Amino acid sequence: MEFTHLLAAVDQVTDPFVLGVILVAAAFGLFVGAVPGLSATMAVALLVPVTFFMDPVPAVAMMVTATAMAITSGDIPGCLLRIPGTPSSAAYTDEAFAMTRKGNADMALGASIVFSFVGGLFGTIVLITAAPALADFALNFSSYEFFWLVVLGLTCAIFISPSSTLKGFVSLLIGLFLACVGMNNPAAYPRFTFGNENLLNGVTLLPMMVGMFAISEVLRYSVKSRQAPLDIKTQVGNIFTGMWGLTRKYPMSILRGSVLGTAVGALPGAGADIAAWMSYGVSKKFSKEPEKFGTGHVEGIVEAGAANNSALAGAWIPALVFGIPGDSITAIVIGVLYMKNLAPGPMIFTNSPVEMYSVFIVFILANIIMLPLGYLAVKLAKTVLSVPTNILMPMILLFCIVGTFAINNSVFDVVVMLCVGLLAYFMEENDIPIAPAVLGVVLGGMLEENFIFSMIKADGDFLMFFSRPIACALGVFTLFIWLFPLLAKLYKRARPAQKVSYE
Amino acid sequence: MKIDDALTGLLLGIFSVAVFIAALSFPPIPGQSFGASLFPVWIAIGMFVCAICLVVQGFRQRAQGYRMTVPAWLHDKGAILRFLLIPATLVFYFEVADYLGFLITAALVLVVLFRAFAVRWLTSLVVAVIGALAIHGMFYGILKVPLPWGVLEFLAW
Repeated sequence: MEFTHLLAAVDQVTDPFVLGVILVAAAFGLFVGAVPGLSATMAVALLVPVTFFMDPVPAVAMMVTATAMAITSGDIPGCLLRIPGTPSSAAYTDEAFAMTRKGNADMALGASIVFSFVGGLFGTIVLITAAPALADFALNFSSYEFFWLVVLGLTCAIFISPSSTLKGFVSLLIGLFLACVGMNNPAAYPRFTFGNENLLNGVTLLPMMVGMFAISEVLRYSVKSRQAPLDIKTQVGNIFTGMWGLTRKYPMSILRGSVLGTAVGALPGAGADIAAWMSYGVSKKFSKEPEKFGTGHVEGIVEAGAANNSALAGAWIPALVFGIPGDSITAIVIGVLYMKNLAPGPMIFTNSPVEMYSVFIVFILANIIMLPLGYLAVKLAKTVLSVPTNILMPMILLFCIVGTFAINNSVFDVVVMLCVGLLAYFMEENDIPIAPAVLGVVLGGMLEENFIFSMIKADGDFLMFFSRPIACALGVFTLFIWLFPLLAKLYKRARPAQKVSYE
Repeated sequence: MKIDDALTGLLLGIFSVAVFIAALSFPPIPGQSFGASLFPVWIAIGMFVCAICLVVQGFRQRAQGYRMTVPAWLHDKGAILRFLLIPATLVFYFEVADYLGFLITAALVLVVLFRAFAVRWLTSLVVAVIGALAIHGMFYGILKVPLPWGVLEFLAW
């Protein structure tokens, strides 16, 4: 039974069209990742209109491949120019550039690519084993469990975000409000539509995502002063030399980075960038030579490079099993999956086993072709990085307009894209993080629906939310996270910090 | 554009009150105590609390000597123009695309944007034509999106 699904999946993925799509997406991802200012999330947002016209498997293949490549190639300008190509490379950009200045650019780039591959493969294996098992376990979840899972997800998004908790809340509430618009609520009453029938179905998710991640970037670029031309002087040799030595020298770092990356990726709201920062910090803490960090030491790059790629696969676990996005990329993916009639949830492995196996195979494939294509990207770095941004940005704008319009033939969608783009731009300028809003938008409906249904089932008794063992555990855990800052404060007050004197 | 936390808070506060008032008018589900208004009301209350916190935070920052500064790009006419060009592009595209057709509209839009972003004339013209053809080929040719031909109808394929 399962084997036939696997064979069918292999058959689907090895279709020449799908393989071609993977190759094109890989080139696209490498390019977008390598150009500073264009992120992996933006790569997916730009792919949305294209995937709209495809079958589910090539559509998903495109998004998986492009993101894996973009996260990896983001390391290239970081290493050569000290400008991270995507936010996920920012954690170790200084380190990589320091290596370049010491003449070790080969090793820095090699480590980035090879251990991205290892981390990505690790995350994929976890995804393949954990997601179906988790789905099996979640099959008898009721609205109580789902309610707590969503609350837990939203909580993570706020508490993990590096900016202030207050602004995280503001962002989340904006997202939840946007999710309220329309009549997709348990009462089916049109809310905040102002009589506009375009809004009856709510603010459409995909145009919103294109606005948040592509238009906001174009707006930001438009007001920036001129950029200095990029100039690469470094000559890069064979980047794969010495990689086996590094693997043998830092096996623990590789493992730690991959595990931490997968876990952070799976947490809602935190993606590859936060995984890389955390991993770099952990690496320094556990290193035998922490004093070398920051001076061009490869250890942190090995660990954080593995972490940001494993986070990509990790983020798919809650996205597929619960419909709770692990990062901004999977938030877009969920929107696309719904359009392809592949509604995420515990049933997805039962309902669409072939498609799910195909996703797994594509993940493996994408990570494998990362090695040769990454090598090629490094060789072509000079050409890629010399594509002027002032030509790219207008093209991206036009592409977004045409693409978003094409999805539903709706001018209104394009207006939504622009408005959300403006909103996202103003939010980021004022240090209000975007990730909680994205999560709020995607999860708002689910949160409300599960809450109202549970309350109706429980006849208004909130204690019923703790009546089932798993729901109870999730609920207590969530409340603990909420109360933790308060408890920590009380504890500190009860036991004033002991003063340490050195004299 | 960075504005003061107190001002952000004020805007959010006004918005939350508007949401609250609008939400109160939503009818309840007959026989149920939880209607369409429950979530929007909670969200509005949450926003209002956040708004107050932001205002307090903003005033604290002011007390510490923080002054809201007008961002540099608002003094730069070029930057303002480029910023406004983005919504303008959208309006222009939908106003004229049906009449002029996609290819001409797209090329025009690109030339104007390229020039605004200081691309040289020759490059602008060449890349605009290639870009319009490329996007057309991709959406019309490969993805079968019915882009308008407009006055170039006689070329349609």
